[in-house]
Amino acid sequence: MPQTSHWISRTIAASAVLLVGCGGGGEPGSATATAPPARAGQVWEVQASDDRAYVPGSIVAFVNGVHVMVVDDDRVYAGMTPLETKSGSGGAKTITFASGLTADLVPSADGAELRFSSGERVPVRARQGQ
Amino acid sequence: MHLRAASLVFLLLVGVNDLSAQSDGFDPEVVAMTFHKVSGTPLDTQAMAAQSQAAMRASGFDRPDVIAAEQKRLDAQLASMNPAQEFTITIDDSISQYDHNTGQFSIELFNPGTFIPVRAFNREYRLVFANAASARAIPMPKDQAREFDATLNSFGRQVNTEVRFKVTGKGDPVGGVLGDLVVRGEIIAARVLERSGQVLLTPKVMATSAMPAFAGFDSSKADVAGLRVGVSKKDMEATLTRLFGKVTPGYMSGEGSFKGFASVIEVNSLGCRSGFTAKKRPQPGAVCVTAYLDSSDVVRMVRVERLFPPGFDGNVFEKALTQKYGPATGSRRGSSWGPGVPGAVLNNPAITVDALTASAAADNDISDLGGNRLQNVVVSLQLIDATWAKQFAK
Repeated sequence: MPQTSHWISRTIAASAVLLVGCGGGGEPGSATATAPPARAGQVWEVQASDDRAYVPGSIVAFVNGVHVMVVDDDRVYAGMTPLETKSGSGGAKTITFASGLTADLVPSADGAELRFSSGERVPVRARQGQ
Repeated sequence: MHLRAASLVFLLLVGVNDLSAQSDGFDPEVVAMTFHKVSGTPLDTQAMAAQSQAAMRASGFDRPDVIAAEQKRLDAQLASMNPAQEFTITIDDSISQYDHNTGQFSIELFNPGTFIPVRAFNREYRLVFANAASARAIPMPKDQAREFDATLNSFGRQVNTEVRFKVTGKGDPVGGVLGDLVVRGEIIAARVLERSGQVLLTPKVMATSAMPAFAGFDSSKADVAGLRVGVSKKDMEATLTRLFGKVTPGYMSGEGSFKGFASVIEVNSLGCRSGFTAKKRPQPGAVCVTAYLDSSDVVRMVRVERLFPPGFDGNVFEKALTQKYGPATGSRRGSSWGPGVPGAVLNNPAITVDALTASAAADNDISDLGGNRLQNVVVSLQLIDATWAKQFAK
């Protein structure tokens, strides 16, 4: 006999950041490790900023290795972890991590912005001379 | 960090404000008791009895007897809990905007990191559903979605979600909800209702046992900030050079160091901490990497550090780690992942360390003493090739 209730006015609560993923995440970093190309592509990095609004985004970027990354056509190298990307509209790319997290790399006036599916965002720019 | 924590507390208070609105016999204490019975989490019935209304009302003379009787009643109630008990709750909920990339709406309640606050025994329990992901999505072709979206907009996207569930254990398997009193439930069935009571949709629910699970932490497949172990020195050097610049040989301390390590390579050695450098104070964004290699020039341990500005948020860090690596399984609660490896790897044979450790610490130096300057934060991720270390230590 199930217990029942009608907490009509009850609200749900959420942790500070809503995570995304499917079925409880996935095996971390299962892609084969490989060095990024020595010259091909461009090095993009999270912009150093005093704007606190971007600190959460830079944390998520660091944990996932895209705080400094090589973008080479439809591949992104998070350190030595190659990640596939999917092109979207307006030159945007969607990066999918092994955990199920995704990040849209969206062009902006100052370079681009990484927008994580968990809600954080942070500006990135191509390194000069690369 | 403090501001972030304060915001979270406020959010939770909002969440529990209306707990007294329960009705129809749903008893949060039964949910809590079932949780303690199913998970084996101890329940201090003596302390609960001492705080009970009966004990409060009793005279000083009678209070010990009243507390003893109340404790006996609680113990009996706890023992009588049926682990198969099913519960049904209905809560305020909402439906997301249509995601044009994935072609679906989603139900807010079933998003990772979302929980239902349950107040019992003067404490807050957090109810999460292990199979929430299976019920989250409302996939729909765009043409159909347009009409459904208009329907949702007609009542502000606010719905009531009715969930029938049972209590199956402790902790959020996704790791998004933290705490000692996280009640893990399994959805048996769910319905989404309009406020009028009309059924809007019935999500498909998959049993937890049929859902994919974390495969467990495997250091040979994991990375820290994209860097891996088990790779060649050449690949590591090439990667570090491309991303961070000049790679230099590192210093291997002699006596007492782990014999498995034959050499070290570094980038920006000691450049992430104020106290270690005579140069100018390191700036946020600085990255330092140290990689330890075996005699075959294979990377067996890598440590990567990055300096963050004062607004560093530990909650975001922890959640990002959990999202990536799964619930922490190591000995350092919330910040390490197993399996344990011999402490000799870190030049400390007396301990066992975890294969992956994460830490965040203020970047203090002598000039901070007595000052009130907000400090940068050094975040460190360290990964050890656990299988290799164990074999070598033998």
